[in-house]
Amino acid sequence: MKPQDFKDMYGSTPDSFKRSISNALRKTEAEEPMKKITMRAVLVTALMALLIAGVALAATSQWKLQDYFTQIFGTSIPQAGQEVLEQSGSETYTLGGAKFTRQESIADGNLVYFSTKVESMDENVILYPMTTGDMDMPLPDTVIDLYGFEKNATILDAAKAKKMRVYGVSVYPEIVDDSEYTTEMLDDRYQEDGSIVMINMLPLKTDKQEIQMGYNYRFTEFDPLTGEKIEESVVSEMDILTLPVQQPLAVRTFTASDDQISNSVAYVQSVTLTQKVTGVYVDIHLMLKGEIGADSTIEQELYGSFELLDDDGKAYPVGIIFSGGLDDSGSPEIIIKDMVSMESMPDHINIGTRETDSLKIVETFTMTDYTDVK
Amino acid sequence: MTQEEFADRIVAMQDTLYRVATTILPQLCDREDAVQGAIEKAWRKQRSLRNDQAFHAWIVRILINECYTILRPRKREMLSDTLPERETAPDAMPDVYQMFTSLDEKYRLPMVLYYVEGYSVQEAAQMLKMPQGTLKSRLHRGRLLLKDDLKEVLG
Repeated sequence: MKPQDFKDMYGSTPDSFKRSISNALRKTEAEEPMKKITMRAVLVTALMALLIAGVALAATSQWKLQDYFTQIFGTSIPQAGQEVLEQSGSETYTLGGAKFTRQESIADGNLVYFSTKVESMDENVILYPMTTGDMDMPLPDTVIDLYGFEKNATILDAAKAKKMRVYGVSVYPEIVDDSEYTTEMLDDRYQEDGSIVMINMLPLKTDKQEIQMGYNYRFTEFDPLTGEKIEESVVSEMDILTLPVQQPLAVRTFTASDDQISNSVAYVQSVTLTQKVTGVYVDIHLMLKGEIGADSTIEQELYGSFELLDDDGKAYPVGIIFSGGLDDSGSPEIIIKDMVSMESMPDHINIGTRETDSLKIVETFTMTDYTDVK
Repeated sequence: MTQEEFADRIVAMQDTLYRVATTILPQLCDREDAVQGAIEKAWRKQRSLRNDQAFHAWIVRILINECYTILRPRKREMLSDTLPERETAPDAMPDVYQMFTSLDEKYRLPMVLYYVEGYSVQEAAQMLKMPQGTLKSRLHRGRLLLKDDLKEVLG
């Protein structure tokens, strides 16, 4: 067997994969790279929203982060966090033919959250969210119904049919003075009036009291006949803002005796709850029982196999799943980190262990032995 | 770097991007999502790339992040219900591929970067954000696990 054979085990790159690359590259033609502010790569985060394709969203007149948490994550931002969001003020920029209103911003030491509303300043315009949108995809029903477009029309179909202009808009927050790019989470929702609310969240691991953020706004008009950007229309602007970092309200660590709460590959050492104004971050500290071999099922057995349960035995809705995992240091200590919706710090917690085949909770343990770090 | 230069460099490494994504993600549609996300992020953040010569390693690192972003919550959602079967290209070598993908990912990915894609230990360690010593030990362990079948290739 030759090295080339080893390479060839994957076969040739499928055409659909090449097309995906071409599509992505076509998208880059419409966007300028960001200004030079460097970023941090901290962690891999994921939006449960991306997994809930087709979820029916209730209409709200003014979509904000709380709506996002409620409708997409199935959780809610506690009252204290809502108050901070309400006071976070709004900043408005007019760029090209669009008005950008940064509605909310909050940094909690783990993530920075923003919601931004974008409206057209002109009549007969359809907005195109450049970061997450796709000109080849059917428009959502909200927009179809608002403008009376044909069902499943794409932006260009609709713009051509109704002789509308297409304004591409995007916003990107960045942490100033960080050294690498970051994996940020993006989403947007068309509103009933044709405006768009953009949600941006990016990881932030800091113990600073405040951080400097760059907030980039970008406007690009597209030719509705060709889908090409109109070069002279491109405008971008960056706003620098200083955000206070919300400090933990409380930190409580529950401990378990060795092997008290375990499955076949690991046992729970401790569970740390860090209460922030945005919710409670849960770190489940696990210790692997043996050496990690070439057993590809270990990660499956770990993820979701230890679950924080309420007193009714139900799992808390998980808002955000952070990475944990086996592949960084080779250490037998693993931390699984989630953010859950919880109003106050509990004096006990329940940890359920799942049977990995049936997904049923097979045992529930109540942890009452805790230490308050803060 | 102009958009054209960027596009040329990406197209030149599309096979590498496919193999890296395939090493992590079982399903083709997820690999396609991952590569699209990686390219868009890379373009937007290209000015955070200080050394132009590190372009390959930088793109691969972003792609790996994108793959994990897709994979981790999905794993959690499915738990061990049934992970989808790995999709392969029609002209792939299913036996070798299956043997290789039966390896734990922590060995698989270093091996693909080092042996298949030809990156140096230093480059692969940077992409995987691990010390070079850890990478070397994973390469060693991976070789042992595959030694009966692949020693000619890796030896």
